Amino acid sequence: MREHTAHPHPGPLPREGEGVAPIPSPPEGERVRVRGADFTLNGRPCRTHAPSHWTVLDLLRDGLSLTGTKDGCGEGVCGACTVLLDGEPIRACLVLAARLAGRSLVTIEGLEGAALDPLQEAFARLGAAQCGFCTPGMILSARALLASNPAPGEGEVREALAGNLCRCTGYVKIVEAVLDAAARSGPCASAPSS
Amino acid sequence: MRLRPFELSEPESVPAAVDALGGGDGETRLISGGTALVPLIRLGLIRPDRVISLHRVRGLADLTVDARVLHAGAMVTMAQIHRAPGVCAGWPLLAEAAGRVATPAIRSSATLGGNLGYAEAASDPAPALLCLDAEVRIAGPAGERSLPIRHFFTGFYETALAPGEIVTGIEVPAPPPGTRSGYVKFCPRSAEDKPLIGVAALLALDPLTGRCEEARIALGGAAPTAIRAARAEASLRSDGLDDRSIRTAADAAADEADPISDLMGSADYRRDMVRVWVRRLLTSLRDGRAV
Amino acid sequence: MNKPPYRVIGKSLPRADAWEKVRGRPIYAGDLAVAGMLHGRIVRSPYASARIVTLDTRAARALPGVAAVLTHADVPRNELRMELPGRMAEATAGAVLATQPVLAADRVRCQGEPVVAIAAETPEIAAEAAELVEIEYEELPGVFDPLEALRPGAAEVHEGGNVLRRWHLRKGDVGEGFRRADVVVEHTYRTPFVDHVYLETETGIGWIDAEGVLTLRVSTQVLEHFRDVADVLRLPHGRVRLEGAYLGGGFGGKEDVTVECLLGLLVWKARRPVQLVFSREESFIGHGKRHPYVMRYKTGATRGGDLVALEAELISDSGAYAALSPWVLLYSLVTATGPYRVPHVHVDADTVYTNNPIASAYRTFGSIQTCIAYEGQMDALASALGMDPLELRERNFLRKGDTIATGQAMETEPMLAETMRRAWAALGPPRAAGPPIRIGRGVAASLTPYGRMCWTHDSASAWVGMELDGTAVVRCAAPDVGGGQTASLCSIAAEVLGLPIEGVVAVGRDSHFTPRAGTTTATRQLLMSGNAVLKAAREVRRHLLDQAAEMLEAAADDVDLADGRAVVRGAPTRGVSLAELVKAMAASGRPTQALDKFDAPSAPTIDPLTGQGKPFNDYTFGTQAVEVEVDADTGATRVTHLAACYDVGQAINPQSAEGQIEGGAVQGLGHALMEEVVLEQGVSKNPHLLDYKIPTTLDAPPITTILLESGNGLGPFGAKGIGEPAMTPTPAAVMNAVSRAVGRRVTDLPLTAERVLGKLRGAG
Repeated sequence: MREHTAHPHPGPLPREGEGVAPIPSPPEGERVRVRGADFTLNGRPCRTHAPSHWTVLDLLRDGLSLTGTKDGCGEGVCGACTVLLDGEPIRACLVLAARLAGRSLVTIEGLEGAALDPLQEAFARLGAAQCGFCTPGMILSARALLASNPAPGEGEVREALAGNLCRCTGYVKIVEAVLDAAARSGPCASAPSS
Repeated sequence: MRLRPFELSEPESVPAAVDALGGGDGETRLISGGTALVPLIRLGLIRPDRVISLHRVRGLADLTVDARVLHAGAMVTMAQIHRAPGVCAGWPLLAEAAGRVATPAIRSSATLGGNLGYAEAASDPAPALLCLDAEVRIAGPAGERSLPIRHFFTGFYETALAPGEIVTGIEVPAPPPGTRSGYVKFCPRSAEDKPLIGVAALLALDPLTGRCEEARIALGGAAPTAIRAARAEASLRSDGLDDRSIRTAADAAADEADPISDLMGSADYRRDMVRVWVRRLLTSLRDGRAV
Repeated sequence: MNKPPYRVIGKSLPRADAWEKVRGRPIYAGDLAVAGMLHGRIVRSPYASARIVTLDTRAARALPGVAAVLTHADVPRNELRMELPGRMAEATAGAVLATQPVLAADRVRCQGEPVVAIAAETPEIAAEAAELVEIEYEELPGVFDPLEALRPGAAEVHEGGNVLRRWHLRKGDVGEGFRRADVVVEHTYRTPFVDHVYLETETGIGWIDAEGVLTLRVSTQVLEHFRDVADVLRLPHGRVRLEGAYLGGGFGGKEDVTVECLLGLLVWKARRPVQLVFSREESFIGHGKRHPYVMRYKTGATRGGDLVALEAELISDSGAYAALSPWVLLYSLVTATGPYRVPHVHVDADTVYTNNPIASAYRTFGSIQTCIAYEGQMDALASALGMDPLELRERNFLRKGDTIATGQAMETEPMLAETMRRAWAALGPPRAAGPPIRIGRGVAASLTPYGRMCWTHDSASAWVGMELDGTAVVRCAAPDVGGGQTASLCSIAAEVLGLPIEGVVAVGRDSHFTPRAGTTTATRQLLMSGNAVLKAAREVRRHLLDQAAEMLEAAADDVDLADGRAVVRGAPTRGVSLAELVKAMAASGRPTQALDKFDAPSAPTIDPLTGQGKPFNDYTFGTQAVEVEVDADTGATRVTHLAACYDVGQAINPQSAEGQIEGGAVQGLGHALMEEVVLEQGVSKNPHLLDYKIPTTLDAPPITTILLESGNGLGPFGAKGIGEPAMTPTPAAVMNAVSRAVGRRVTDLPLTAERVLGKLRGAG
């Protein structure tokens, strides 16, 4: 018999600061071109500069100190770097930072509002996060799925998450958590617990 | 891991892109979605000094369909192709194949032009485009031209693009009415992988006689490029679609294959799998059920 | 069996770390950036066997932005050693332990061996500097097959020969045993190099603190590596501190030193903070793998199904250096006969040097390979006897009082028959399928040690203390690899102190600030740090009860602690909050904290010539049953259902225990079906996720997990360990299922589609 007890988590987190987040000038001066990008980051305007060869992942982690998005392989296979660009999942390790201009990016840090996203709550409650390294990418891929398909079947969940590798969980509780969050957020469900 | 530094150009028109490709010192590469290019740079397999991104080029991201033809710009993504209602309705084979590329987070970035330009034999869209007799639109220093896709792939990761040319898009005629089509992707390692081999097929059956009026079969991963299995097609057209003739066509396709041995499998196994999956796909299309 | 009702133990409570992880908030080792930080980069040998002819770092050093370019000449003590304090004589007896350098001097013996360490202002400059290092190699003959390496005249990896270590297991008279056997089956089983593929690669950041202490914050399973760093730098051990970040997976791959010594060296020489992150490709090439094994097994049984004799030869490929190979081999020796009663046993085990990648610790530590063999043999015997494979197993399962081949008696009842019957039953009624699909079901029972080898005299310490607000703090340096190590300690303390789970916080894990608890390896942490926390918490509880007895005017034995209060049993109004208690204790000088140590029972190492002795304190028994569908036209194999049943003693958190089993099973499935480091003359052809595939959501089957709780474990509340046992039987069960589907015994992993098709067609 399994018991799942909701664990009261600490209150809402402070929001990210205002948009401008300059990075230190590259020490090589002209050797590395820097380009500016104006984009929306987690719902707020962001203006940054990044070297031309930086990917979205470099910008997030090293330029903006948003380290929730992880670097797992650099090949676009593991999914640990998945973030949402205009609502679609992308591999931050493969997309150049310059592509962000004028677009809207959501990272794991921006997923929660006044309360945790139902996916975050379900993942924590149902044991879907063990080491946690795949978790941000996994949750964002699931978020994209539920945005376009609010009541997926198990097969659809597995298809949507096939690009997010996990080595710890065997995926069982991850799939359970996505289905649970979908059930709780559907039009017939009550408001998500906080 | 950081990429080796390069200069980035973001031209806003096709002529500007062609210009940028031609000019400058050092190695220059085009980037569209980056799903093939960026890993190559990161692993040190290519070392561009200049990268030209096509994402600002006007018109390259357009996808339009009408009753007769589909136009897709080089920057149209696999996700867009897979989702577009017009494509699903009129070119289901292409929508299906585009939807089998990797995973959602790759499909959102991977582009048609990038896929064609990379010319990987184990591409999912390439066999579908071969079956659909797509035309590849190209722009270069000498102007614009188009090339039937059958002539576009010339060798192992090689295309017919001349120096300074870029793929600007494709034009795909609507398949004949009443055709059945399907794409099968065989991944024997993990379920999410490049295909060991892929088979796309498009059949037009005479509704009265059941005869095969049109048969197009294309193979991915079975030769240095994606190929049409012309002899298999010919045998179907002459012999019809009973089990025996499907087997003959599958054997012909296996013979036409010219596969390599690599980490995913041996050439012999690939050939065997061409035989199996051509047979299975043709049978399922004939019978109107899933593979 | 009757158990007292627990308030926290045995409940599937969400872990405190989970709430942080779903927000992406934990600061893993690579997430911390420090002002002025340099970026490290390692230059590694592309060759498996070569002499370094010239090494020129001048151009690299001259590049603007480069702070350090280090070679072997810069390493004070250029040696990596596996040190077990005070026990190295036992540990090394009979072994040819070649020195593994931190940075190669004149010779490299495997692909990826580090040669130069660089620190630069940016990762880009570090990468450029790496390319400017000029190294001239002269390739030398190498040996790439352990069987080849054993032959006279084979290229020598090190002086002293290629045999690193031998163990022998002798029981009874195996010749006599085979004479009595009515049926004998013989097979050779082969397993490949396999990678851990944790999502987080090897990572660390280091700096020198205000008191000159070299501080490293590393993704590591072993905080005691501070000693390795100190020895390499010839610093007093107290001047190197290792802070344990949460790991993004370990599985044994972060048990040996990975970044620690290289990072420490760079920080110490550059005198600035340095971050060192292995790329995925570097991780594939640069860290130890699972040992490939060739296992020749000959097993005999009577017509009635009694096992009488088992003869086995195990050969493992250690790769270029020793690392933990001798101990992995010992685990294989001890588990070679499986969870069975076998009267006559003869096992010879060798671990051999080659110029292949280094093989070392990986979840199950040598128990998974033998399980493939002994469970394959059981199915083969069942076929030969015309006997039901479950019946054959049940007939021979170890019972309480039986001894394993080392002479160690089982002191409690191994619940083997029950785990097997329940796992098998969970697969449900048999399913049929039409051609070309062939369905097969297989089972594998297993034993896996938990806790370290007895000769290591293992111990762990923990501190538990009460705060003035009535909450508790646990300080214990047990690295958390994601398996809930930290959460378990909080559960144990909460249970003992009568606190809700939120009332206990575990603060960090650090070689110097928190009591040392040893490695998070060998499925030992619950046993060791769990028991240490249990002891410390019980001591604190005694003090709390004594105070409560005074304040409530009752006998201490009549006071209960629950929900943050001390209450007289039967008189709920006579109570006081823990906060009030603690404040009163602080005011009167009564202790509110305790530091305690748990020592595992110890024993001498097993006899190297006979294997006799007590190798481990206890074992976890479990069975997995698997159903596969094999496509007879393509050989492609799909696992359609996996059922696992284990005696976990007492589940501290059932959800966590299930999570371990589910994860271990899928990792095992990868090993069985798709994972293999492909080598050509010792050089990896697939050091990328594009070509080294691990299971995805679409590969993972539905999994049924059944936990049995005998209460017989040596851990807190009768718990056993589950981390490694979770994976042990999976490849064996898959092999048995595929063998059944195919109609022939498959013996080589991985079971790629092409290989299975070959078996179906009668080849191989």
